[in-house]
Amino acid sequence: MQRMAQDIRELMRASQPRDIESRLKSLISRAATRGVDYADVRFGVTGQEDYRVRDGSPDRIETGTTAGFGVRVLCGGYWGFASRPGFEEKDMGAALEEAVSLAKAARLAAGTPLRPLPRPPQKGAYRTPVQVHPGSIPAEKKLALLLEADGLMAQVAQVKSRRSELQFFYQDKWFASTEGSFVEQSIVESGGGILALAVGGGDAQMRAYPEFMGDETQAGWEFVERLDFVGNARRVAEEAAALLDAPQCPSGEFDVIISGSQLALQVHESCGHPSELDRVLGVEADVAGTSFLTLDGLGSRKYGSPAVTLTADATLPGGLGSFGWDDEGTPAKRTVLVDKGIHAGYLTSRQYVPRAGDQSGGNARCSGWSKPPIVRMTNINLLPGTAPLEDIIADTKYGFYFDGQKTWSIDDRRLNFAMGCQAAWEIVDGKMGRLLKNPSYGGITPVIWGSCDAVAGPASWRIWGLTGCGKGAPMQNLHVGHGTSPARFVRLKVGVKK
Amino acid sequence: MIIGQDKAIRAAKQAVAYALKNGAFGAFALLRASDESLTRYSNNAIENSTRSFEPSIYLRVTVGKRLASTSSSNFDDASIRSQAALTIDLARKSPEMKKIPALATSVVSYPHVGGYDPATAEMPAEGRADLVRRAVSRVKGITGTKVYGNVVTGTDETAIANSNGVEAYFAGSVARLQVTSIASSRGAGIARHVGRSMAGADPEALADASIQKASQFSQFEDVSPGDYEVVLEPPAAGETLFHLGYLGFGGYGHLQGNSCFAGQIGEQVLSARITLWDDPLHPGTMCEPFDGEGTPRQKLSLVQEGIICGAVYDLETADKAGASSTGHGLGPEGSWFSEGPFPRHLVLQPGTSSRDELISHVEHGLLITSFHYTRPLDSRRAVITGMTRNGTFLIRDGKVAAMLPNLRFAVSAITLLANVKEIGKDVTLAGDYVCHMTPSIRTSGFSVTGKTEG
Repeated sequence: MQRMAQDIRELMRASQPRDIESRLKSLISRAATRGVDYADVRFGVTGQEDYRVRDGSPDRIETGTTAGFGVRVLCGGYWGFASRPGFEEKDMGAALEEAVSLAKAARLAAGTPLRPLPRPPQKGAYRTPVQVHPGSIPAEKKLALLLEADGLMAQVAQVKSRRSELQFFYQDKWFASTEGSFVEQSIVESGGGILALAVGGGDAQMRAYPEFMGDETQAGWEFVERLDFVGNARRVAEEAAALLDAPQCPSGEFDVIISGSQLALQVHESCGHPSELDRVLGVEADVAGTSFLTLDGLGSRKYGSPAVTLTADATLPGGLGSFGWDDEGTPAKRTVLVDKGIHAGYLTSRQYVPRAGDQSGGNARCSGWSKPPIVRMTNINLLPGTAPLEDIIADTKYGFYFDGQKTWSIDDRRLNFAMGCQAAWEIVDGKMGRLLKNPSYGGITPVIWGSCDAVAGPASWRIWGLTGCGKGAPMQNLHVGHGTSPARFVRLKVGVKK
Repeated sequence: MIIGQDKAIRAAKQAVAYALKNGAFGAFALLRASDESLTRYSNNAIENSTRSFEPSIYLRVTVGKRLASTSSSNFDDASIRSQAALTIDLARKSPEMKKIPALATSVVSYPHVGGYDPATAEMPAEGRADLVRRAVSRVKGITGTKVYGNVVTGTDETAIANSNGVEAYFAGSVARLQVTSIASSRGAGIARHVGRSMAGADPEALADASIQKASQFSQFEDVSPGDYEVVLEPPAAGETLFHLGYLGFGGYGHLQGNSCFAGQIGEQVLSARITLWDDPLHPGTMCEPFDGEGTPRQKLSLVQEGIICGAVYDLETADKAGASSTGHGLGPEGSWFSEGPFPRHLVLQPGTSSRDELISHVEHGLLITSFHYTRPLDSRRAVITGMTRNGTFLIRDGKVAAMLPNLRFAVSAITLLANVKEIGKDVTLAGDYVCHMTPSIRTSGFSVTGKTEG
């Protein structure tokens, strides 16, 4: 009788062929005989574990794996990509032929043929540093943690719905190309969140910890322990209930300190996406949109105040956008996107750099083996300032502190955005005061970032994980990181609610 | 690439059988496979051509009051056998639920919806590239305007089996052809063909409509914030319906008390001009014969002349509400983005006016093609904010008078549908996975709060 896998690591290993390197190289050799200009292949095995407790009952205890490969060719100057599940030799041959025929069909409506910029072969391995692999933690312990947090939230009477979740994501992947590259990477992501919904008096209010959709990072079980769901559960529930009776956040122009997690979303929407070079070139015009960060303003356009410096940094440890090489085999890099308020760079890939630049910034990523790499965020970060958060609050005569993602919307050029937060606290004479509900703010991207007069220092800076970034056709859902600390915005337009 | 009914059903049944053999009290298996071929173009030329085939088999078991589920991209016999054993083992390690999830009951047959067109499902790369070529050909000679878009063909397959004897299979082909036009003035337009078949798709006509909208004016006029009478074309009207459906008709929201229609079933809330169904069997939608739990789909009345008729339920919410499932179970994938069921195939009863007639009845207002990135600001009142996209225009004295920049709005979807003055007859399918059959509508109280700049 077949021995059963004891945890997710064994399950994933069972999905891998033993001779990965030789299979990859064999496919690459075969591609070279098909007259392609360039080819690369990604093998991938993905695993996930999800645990959820809803309203006192465990309603999701789930593990999953997928395994397969994708082959991409540049043939006659045009791209083709095909993927298949599994690692059968016959499927690899068929996928290669299909990728070639897809590329050749482009001649019917062809643009300028592309040539890849030459690059030295890449070799090596990358692994997420993990202290305790989540797969080694029994399901019983994971669920006990969620049930305890749920029970604490249930003690608040106005809370009508509760959710506690743990999520773990694993990705083993191998990359080879006709340039002689061969790299292997093993990613481990851990995280989750708790949420309480209070209902009463014709209103419904939500608070979540660490964030609306949870928080994940590249780490092991040690990150879950640091999150301390149990220590935060009662507070989250009480704040949700208190919001039912809280006054409405006023509308007008006010000085507002925005929390780090909310700023992570603002950075994502108003800096990360418009910095994507494929958007700038119009490639995403049919789906996600274009960008106001056009090529003519690089190096001179004012994006924000001198307090604002933003980077794309895949070399940071622990972010969901951290890796050794991107999915085109480009080594992890750090790129300054905004330098002291001036637009300074783009997120780029080998596919688009020949049209606007000289080398890839290492931002080509795919959601898994079944999809092609496209330009994506890695870790997009607002660099910390110098003043401690406490000093910024103490320096605020009248204003608000906004916390918690609730809703967000931005136009297709990433210029006009509106954000709704879970909660606000009034600041009077440098002290945090009463709780207010339904805070929201909005405006034009460079105007808002131009009003940023203080970013809190390194003590309150951390990387947040965002697991629901959708982009592309075919649509790909990716995990990205954002390093932020709270920041103050002067005369921010508050209250977009009708 | 299609797995086929026999093989797909056999895999789902095997998963259930192995689970029961290993000690499961109940089991539910769902096999999904998406074979999507896509040709994407931008700046008048093909950018990428891709084909992705990704199957997955999901198995959920209960052992007493303990539950677990697993998924895998492998569905050969040995893999399914291992998956079943692993799922049972995981369930045995889990704490007890308060109540185990119900399973759909076996039915004699499911509604026949058609929905599979082999020519669409198997369209070669050259076929998609030729559709692009035909669309792009219409922009040649129009200075400053470029077209962007994508062509998608393929198949979505679903097979379901459970320990109540349910056996369900559906394969639907997928066809999407989109033409987005952007002029040097930043004027934009869009036209789409969406459905289960590419037959009848007219890339030249789509391109002409899209290009005309983008190119008809050379510069933007300004517009002040305030409340406007508007004509919402089908994509914008469809997104309004989506939010109303998501925030108002979900059974979970009614149970929690945070639905925007909580406590209002049987009351006149919307304009008497609004009659709305959810109809997943409608051949004009991305039709489906059963939901993600194996319950048969059905046409369901949600609004009758402005009166709220009911909510939609899956097995769990129906059980809690003391009702029956209306066939709106999302299945395992759906639960990732939605708290419970919501209507995905809304059909709005059309009126008799043409789009141009709707415009001619507006003295001073807006013509809006589509919305972008709309999100709820206040779920309880169905207040949404978003931006307009792909063509926003000023209507003056019944005529389209000027091009406007994309506008930010914040408005209750209830307000928009309570204020409806006239409904068009230009019924179009908007969306895809969530797809709504809707004509243009003329309504008022559309609150503009800002605009795109730069």
